[in-house]
Amino acid sequence: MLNTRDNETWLKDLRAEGAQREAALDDLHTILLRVLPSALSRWLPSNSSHFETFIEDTAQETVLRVLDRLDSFQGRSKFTTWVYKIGVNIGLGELRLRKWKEVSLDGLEESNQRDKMPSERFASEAPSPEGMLERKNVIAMIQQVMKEELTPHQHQVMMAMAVQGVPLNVVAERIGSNRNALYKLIHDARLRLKGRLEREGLSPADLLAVFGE
Amino acid sequence: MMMKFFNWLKPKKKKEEDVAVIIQFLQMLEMTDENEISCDDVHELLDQFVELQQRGERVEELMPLVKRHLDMCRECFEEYEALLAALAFEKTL
Repeated sequence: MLNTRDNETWLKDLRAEGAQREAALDDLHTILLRVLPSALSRWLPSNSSHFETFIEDTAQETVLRVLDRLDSFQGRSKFTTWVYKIGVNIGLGELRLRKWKEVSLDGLEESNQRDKMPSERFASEAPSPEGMLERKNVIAMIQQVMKEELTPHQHQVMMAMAVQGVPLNVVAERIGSNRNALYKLIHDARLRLKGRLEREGLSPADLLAVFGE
Repeated sequence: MMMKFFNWLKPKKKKEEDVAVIIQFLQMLEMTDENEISCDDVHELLDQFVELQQRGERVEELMPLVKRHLDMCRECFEEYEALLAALAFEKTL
């Protein structure tokens, strides 16, 4: 059992010098090599030819980032949980960049592949002819509202990220931004659209009801 | 680009898929709130959130902004899922 250190001991050992620090670094690296495969195998199958190299690279980068941010650890969780959090952030970020590496954001509207939102549900079946017309009208209205309320940049990012499921860090890398800034951009766009609907006397819940949701 | 997006939104060959996109879009708007926190804020709190949840605490009450963000943000939700998987495996060591 490698993880026998408490938080204070991890910090003390990693801040020490010589053999004490080396032992802690080795243990941290070994723990990551054991845990990261289980954490990330859903996104990169363990039988993939790149799997071992990917895990090793992620573990090494995680250790480096942990050392870099050691002073920011506030002890609000177990030290290893904090380390895993950093590890999955690095690993999943890299996997997203690899997955979308060859995809042009301009061609996404032709793609049928769409990652689902956590809360996503699907429409109820077979509306009546009147229901179909109502849906068509809602879609046209949403198109119009988006056209009037959003900037072209907000449109582009929203299309890529919120509609087609391109990860934020992938969009950020392509357009020279960062995940935080893009989340804020999308948040502002959502607020504008929601506010416009409210001024029109509509709520998203009203419109979802048209689709049987 | 903008017109392509609108054309893509129009129901044509894959009506069910298009409707699902609209529903997803409306669900995003439904969950939208003035007071949302960023991905970096969530990353900062995620280890604490997951440990509280594992202890059976009501995280949606203790950390409602993190919970809301996870409902909205696919990438942070995946990191949350991966962290849960890491802790589940750790228990077996």
